[in-house]
Amino acid sequence: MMALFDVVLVFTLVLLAWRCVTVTDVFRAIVVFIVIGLLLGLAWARLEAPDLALAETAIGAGLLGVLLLGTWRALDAGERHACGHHRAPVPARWLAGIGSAGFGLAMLVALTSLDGHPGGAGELALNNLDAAGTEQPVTAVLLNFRSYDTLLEMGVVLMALIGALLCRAALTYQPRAEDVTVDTPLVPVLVTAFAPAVLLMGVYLVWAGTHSPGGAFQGGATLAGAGVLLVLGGRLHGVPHTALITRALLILGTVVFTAAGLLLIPLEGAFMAYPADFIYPIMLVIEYSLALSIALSLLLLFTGTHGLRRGES
Amino acid sequence: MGVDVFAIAAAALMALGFYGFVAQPHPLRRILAINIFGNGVFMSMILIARWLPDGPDTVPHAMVITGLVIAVSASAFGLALIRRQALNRRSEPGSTDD
Amino acid sequence: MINLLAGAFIIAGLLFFLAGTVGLLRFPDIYSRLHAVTKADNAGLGLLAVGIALLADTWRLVLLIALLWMVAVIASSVACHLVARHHLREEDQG
Repeated sequence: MMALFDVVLVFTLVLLAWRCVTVTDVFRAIVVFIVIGLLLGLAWARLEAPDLALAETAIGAGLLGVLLLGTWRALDAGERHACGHHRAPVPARWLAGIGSAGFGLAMLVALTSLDGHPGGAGELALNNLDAAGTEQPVTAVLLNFRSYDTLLEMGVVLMALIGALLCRAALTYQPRAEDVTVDTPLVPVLVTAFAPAVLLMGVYLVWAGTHSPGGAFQGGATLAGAGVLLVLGGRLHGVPHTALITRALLILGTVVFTAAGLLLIPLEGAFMAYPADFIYPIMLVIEYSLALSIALSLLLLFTGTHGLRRGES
Repeated sequence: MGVDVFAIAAAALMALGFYGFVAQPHPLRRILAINIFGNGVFMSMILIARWLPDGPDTVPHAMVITGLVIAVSASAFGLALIRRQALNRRSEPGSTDD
Repeated sequence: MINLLAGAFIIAGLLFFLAGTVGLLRFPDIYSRLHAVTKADNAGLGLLAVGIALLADTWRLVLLIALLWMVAVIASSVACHLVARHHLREEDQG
């Protein structure tokens, strides 16, 4: 029964991916891409990766979808279709198609013919879970065993934000007419009803990361989603300057993570080694600061502005 | 056991993403195509994570979550570049159809 | 008995989804399509939720399913309203 479900899921995924790369209308391609993200969430759940399923639906489908649609809306009619580029000629497309098909076949052969030799790192992680201060193996890997990755990842997110803001420095935030007129009474009611619930869910997801699927990334993305809701509902506005508190929150995750790693060197004798007695509170503090920084970074990537301000209404 | 259906999906996503990146000139669609390719790579990693006998290997899971966040950040940077490019083109008079 | 009842609810819900999707694909203009998809899907989701709630072990799960259904209904109605409104405005502008 579940095998049939998997076949249908994979078939739909591949069909949608095909539509996404071949459909002529850019807007349709974006919508199809969002649906692919949601179905991938289902696929991750089927592949025993619930953490990833949460991350995919919140970040991959939700936030990336909103970013894509926002960019599409900022382009004018000509750019939406051609963008000054010409489609590749038919022989070139055939060549690309044949090449891609060959590449896909080679990948399929590689994936199925490799003998299932498990990686040693995974077993090591599972065996040392007691030392990690959390029963949730994915969180343990992210925040403890491979914390360098996560720290550098925060750096990448921050760099992407700075790069994006530099690119859009010339675009002073000017709300379009249709942006600001939220004259239907339904939207403010929706925002009032949903934003606190979504915020609560984000906070819960971060905390849940210590013992069940969830964590700083999923929770942070959900918090950013609540922020997007507030921006769209006119409760938050982008402003062209960065307040001190915004800067502090943006670097909070990186600073807390690094500080926890550095300050405990005298105690433990190594960078990013945590004393076993306090490991749970330390993990929690790091998780929440990471989540706050991620949420604000993603939200500013959405608004494309340097800061945020509360709306009048 | 035969071929895992998800292995087919991973290979197909990579192939389609690659094709889209080569064949579609619109920058927004190239970002979509890269993300589809990336999803295929993520799926291969998750498949490899299932080789561990006692439960799925969480190290690839954590790496994929890291990868997902980085993919979205990089895409957001790409989208900002697209907006900037459109703005520059608009400010150059008479160059909308090049 | 409970299983049978839950199965009946789930199948009825799926039929509503099917009808909504057929309506979305076959109806001529955007308003009737929206009508088909939101109304039928909300009803379908409701029936599906009842069916699954009957199979749930704990009251907590039942409560969560009810909450989920409520959130989905509110969100889909507002989304439907916004899409219809946007379309109406574009028609007005010509």
